[in-house]
Amino acid sequence: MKLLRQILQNMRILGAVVKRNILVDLRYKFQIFVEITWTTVNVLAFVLLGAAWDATASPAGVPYSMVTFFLVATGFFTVFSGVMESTVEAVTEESKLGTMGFLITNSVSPTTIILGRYIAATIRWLIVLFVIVLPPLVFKGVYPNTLSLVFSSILVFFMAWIFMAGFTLILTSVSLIFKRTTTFNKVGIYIVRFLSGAIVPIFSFDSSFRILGKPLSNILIWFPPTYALETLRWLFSVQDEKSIVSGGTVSKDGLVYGSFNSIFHMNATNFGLNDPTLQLMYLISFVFLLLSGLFSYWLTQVSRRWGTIEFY
Amino acid sequence: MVVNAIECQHLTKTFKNPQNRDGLTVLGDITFHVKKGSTLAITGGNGSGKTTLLKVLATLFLPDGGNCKILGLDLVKQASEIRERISFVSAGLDFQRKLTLRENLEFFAKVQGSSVEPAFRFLNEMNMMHIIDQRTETFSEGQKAITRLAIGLMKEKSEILLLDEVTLGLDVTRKEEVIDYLTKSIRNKTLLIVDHDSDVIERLCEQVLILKPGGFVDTIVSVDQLMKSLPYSHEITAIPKRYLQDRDIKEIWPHFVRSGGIIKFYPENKRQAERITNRLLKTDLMSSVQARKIDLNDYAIRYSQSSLTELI
Repeated sequence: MKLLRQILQNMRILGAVVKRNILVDLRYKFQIFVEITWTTVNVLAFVLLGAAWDATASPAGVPYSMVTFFLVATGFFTVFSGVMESTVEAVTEESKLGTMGFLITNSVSPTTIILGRYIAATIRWLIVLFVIVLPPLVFKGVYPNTLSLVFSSILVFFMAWIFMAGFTLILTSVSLIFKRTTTFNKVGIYIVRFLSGAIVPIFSFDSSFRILGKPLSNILIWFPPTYALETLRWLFSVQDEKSIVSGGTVSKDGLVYGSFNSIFHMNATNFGLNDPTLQLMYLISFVFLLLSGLFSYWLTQVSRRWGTIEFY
Repeated sequence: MVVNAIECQHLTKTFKNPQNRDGLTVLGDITFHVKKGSTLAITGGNGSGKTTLLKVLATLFLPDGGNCKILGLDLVKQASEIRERISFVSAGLDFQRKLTLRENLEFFAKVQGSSVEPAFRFLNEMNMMHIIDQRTETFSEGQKAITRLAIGLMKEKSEILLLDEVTLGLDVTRKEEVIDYLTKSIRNKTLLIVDHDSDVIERLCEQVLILKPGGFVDTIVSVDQLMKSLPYSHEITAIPKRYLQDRDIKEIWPHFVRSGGIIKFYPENKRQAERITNRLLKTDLMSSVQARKIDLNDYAIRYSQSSLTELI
């Protein structure tokens, strides 16, 4: 009963923190403009890169459009890095405002503050995703075209979102000790930004580069965000692969799993709730989030002992 | 039946940092108790640990040693239970500037699990309801101080009110209104307040806890006893344009103290202070004259030094 009360109380507080962040975000209109511009430039750059690639590469080597290939990956990674970048300031901003002490003494933990900001930032960046990234994909006819594929896309995105919540929680909690958004935070963000550009070439051209006897992509695929990135790309852009399949009409679903499994040596069945690979990814993500929560709690206790939880 | 709202024994707090591994001891040894429903002011010179003590009691900082019970609950082990029964407001608390006063109050009400109505009642008394839908970025320091108190008063179920210099930034009239309101509204609640203004303390508190540098309890005295301990009410500081002989100064006022090139007068009351100030200004011998009302720190410092009679 006490635990239930505690959970309900935490949900109420989390809801309040999310609502406050959304209200504040909507009032920083210039910031939204900057984010939309940044995403547009990012997407445009990769679309151009993909177009240039398409114009020069042999169709046999790359049998689908590199534009869509890049667009899906870049779009989703831009959202994740954007959410992280917005969230990583959460603790520093509350400390600067002087609200940290008040919130702590009202049972609002730094973990709740960070997750509240993460959820609000996700909503903001999803709007950017829907406005900037998805229209060109739909225009090009690249989107999950069955309900089950849409559902799979949401499941995969949510799994990666859970994992990234843990990663962001670790990165942001460090500010409880160092007070400012440190180099450590920025390095984390730059890693995600770098991956948004680098992961696609790695996944595409690493067949001759092997670690432990496996291509690098076969190792990276077990990391939930890269798994999500690759799966989403698959779920969105697979219809471009029709040209390489012979024998009349092709079931998109069948194509997805068959190709995916053969490349990455996995046993994905349908990217649905009963897919063993996705289940494993969910397990990894939730465990990671739980560990991140424990790390954040530990840092909170340390900062309460060191006095860094609030300027004094 | 718990009779003491607060009971601390040998409480210590040391802030450590990489530059100073031994740490800075802010609370050396704090032992005191406060009965339920009592009102206590905490005072002492700079660096005596007033605010730190309040923040430890508010469960913001973890103590390093000793033990403390708040409403019979352990300060360290039962922090979350304590937080539900206390209200802590600090002068450092600020608000999201892009949100309106109403939105800020609703957020704080939600996280506290309280109604926003008590805050509205207080704001109504302070004639601030007409700016309820204005963004707080336009607020003066006085309006922010009122808002802070409104947030603190929202949590009606709180049994202990911890106020850290909350009247800072209020003009004389507003301060009077706030004191009147607090006197009425804090009945049956335990009040701990850090404030330098002797008027605030005299009217709101029964006892004063005086801290010594290094964070040690000097003494606990009743407010009456403390107020009677100083035979002067103001301090006038005058800087002469040239060196003045004692007889020149005595022509202005017979009792004075030299401190380097500065001359200080200690009038018994406001009328005497006005007379001395007027005379000083008329003589044209002074390059600067400053008068200030004696605050609680003066009382506390003089009280603990037991040197009151030396001056008069």
